[in-house]
Amino acid sequence: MTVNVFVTDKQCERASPRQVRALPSSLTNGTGRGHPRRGVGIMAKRRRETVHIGVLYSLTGPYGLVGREMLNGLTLAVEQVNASPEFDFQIAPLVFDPGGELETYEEHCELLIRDKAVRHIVGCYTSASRKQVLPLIERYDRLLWHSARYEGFENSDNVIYVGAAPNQHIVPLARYMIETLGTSVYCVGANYLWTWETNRVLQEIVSAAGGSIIAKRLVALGDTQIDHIVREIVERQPPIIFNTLVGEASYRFHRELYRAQSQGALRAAPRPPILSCSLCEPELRLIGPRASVGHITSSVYFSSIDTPENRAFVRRYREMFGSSNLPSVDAEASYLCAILLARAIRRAGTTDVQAVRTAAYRDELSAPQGPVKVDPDNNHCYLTPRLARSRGGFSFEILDTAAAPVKPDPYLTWLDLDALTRRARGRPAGEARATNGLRVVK
Amino acid sequence: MSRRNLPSFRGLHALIDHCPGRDRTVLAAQLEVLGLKVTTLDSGAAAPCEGVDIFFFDADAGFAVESDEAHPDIDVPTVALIGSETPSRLQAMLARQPSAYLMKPIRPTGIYSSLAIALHQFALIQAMRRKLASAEERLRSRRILFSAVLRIMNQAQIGEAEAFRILQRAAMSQRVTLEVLSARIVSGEYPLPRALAG
Repeated sequence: MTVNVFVTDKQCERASPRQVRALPSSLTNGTGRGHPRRGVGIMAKRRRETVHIGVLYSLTGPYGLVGREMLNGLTLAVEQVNASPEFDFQIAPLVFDPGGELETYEEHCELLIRDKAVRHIVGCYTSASRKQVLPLIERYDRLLWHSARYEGFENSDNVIYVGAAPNQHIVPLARYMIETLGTSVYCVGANYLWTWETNRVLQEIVSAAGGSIIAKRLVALGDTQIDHIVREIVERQPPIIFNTLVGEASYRFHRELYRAQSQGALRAAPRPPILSCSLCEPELRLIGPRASVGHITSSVYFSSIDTPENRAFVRRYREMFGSSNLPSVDAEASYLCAILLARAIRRAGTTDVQAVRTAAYRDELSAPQGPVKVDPDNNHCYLTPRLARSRGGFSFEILDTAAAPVKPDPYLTWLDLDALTRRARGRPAGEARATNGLRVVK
Repeated sequence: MSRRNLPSFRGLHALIDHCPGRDRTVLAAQLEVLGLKVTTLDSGAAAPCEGVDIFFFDADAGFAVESDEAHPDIDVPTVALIGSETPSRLQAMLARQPSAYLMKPIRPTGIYSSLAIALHQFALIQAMRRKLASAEERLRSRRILFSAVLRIMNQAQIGEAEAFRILQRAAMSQRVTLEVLSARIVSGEYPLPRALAG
């Protein structure tokens, strides 16, 4: 399958397409040889009207791994739409790779809107990049389909937020923690907005439950020197660790902590659980087979969800990107972005932003994660929070699933600390209980 | 009637603490249009330096400030430049006691208003602080004032109202405040007979 990625050169005024070279072979032709076959795939099926959509994912740079995951999900969706007789148009994604550079996001967004005349852009991963393009998106009245989970406290008419809001990721994790693990937690993370805000929410919930944050340790984004933190953990022996480190720093942290435990430096047996809202399947592989086992993640999607929709999704994903790959939450979310967008265009009969947004409000999708719909109150999505523990084979065992999709609450307006912490406060010290309102999925 | 009822900010010195980029460029350019002298520095949670009349700071930069970790008192009007509206950032911003704010992306529109509001709010708060300081000072010296009045009442065998009038007269003739004269009387520095004599 061919994906054209546009890059801009500082010397060139206009973007010129190049074919993906840096992508894993799975994204190109799946043979491992990495030579894309021109003209095969999404562009050449039938003669139907072509709808160009913009894609702004950093496939290279510090979070290129996630960008490539997201592009995989999107590519799968485009392939599905273009192969389906149910759509009387085909989608042609114009993929731009800002390489993780904030100013390039803006430059590419402007190119997509002004030169390529797209009305819909799927893209962004970090909040900084979203904030960078949002003024342009709003000024030109375009629609950004945003797949990443984020810290909330934003609500733009020109964004459809398909990733989880804070009440769908950190709140369920904090609740699980205080009800089943304890209320004393050590926080380690990269020094940026996501850490500050998730730590704040965790602190609020833990304090209301009568517990405390033992320490907050931050390292600069991109800094992989975490040995001093591992030493401190060995020294202080915290019962629970909450991790918001990013990329290699996080992988090293997991490995170093595993090494410390193997050498008998940690009293807790098993290791203190490492909790996060971001650890996903491809990262388990990067951490390594042993150190990646036993960590708890809060997410709306895991590839091990056992439903017909998800089994079909995982099968198609592996057929397209290689049998050893499992889709991550980010791949599923960008898949949902493109599917929701295509269905809204079909329903509206136009790509007009206002019409598509209204059509999206009326849709409900049987997604791999379960039913998904856009909440017209705030443009975020009803999603199904889950908690899972990483296991061997680089996958997750799902521990809990919300009984129904949860209404998004991006400003945590409806967070009821009293109700949330009631069970934890009523619990005798040290006793663990099953979670409330969540059912166990085998 | 004066033609300059509307505030002019010509000649004021603005300091912008924000990383380079379009927001800083737009802000600096507009401030110059409004006649301000502009100094920029890359964001590093710096405090405003000597000679600065108004201080613009990046509310998105720097460490998250804990609520109990207050910034030192800033004695110039400040304007927060806000991108993220997450509570952790807002908390850090509030610790720096902004007089006004601007939302990013910065546009020329709104900068004039933020200057007007910042300078007005800051002047108002400064005036209230001065008033509060003087009220607190008076409150502290009330006990001393009462002691002085009581001494005059005992010595001259008069009522409270008359004793207070005597004290007032003496303070006026000495050209000091009631509190200062009371402190002198209580400490014995100013003999009572002279006070009674007015």
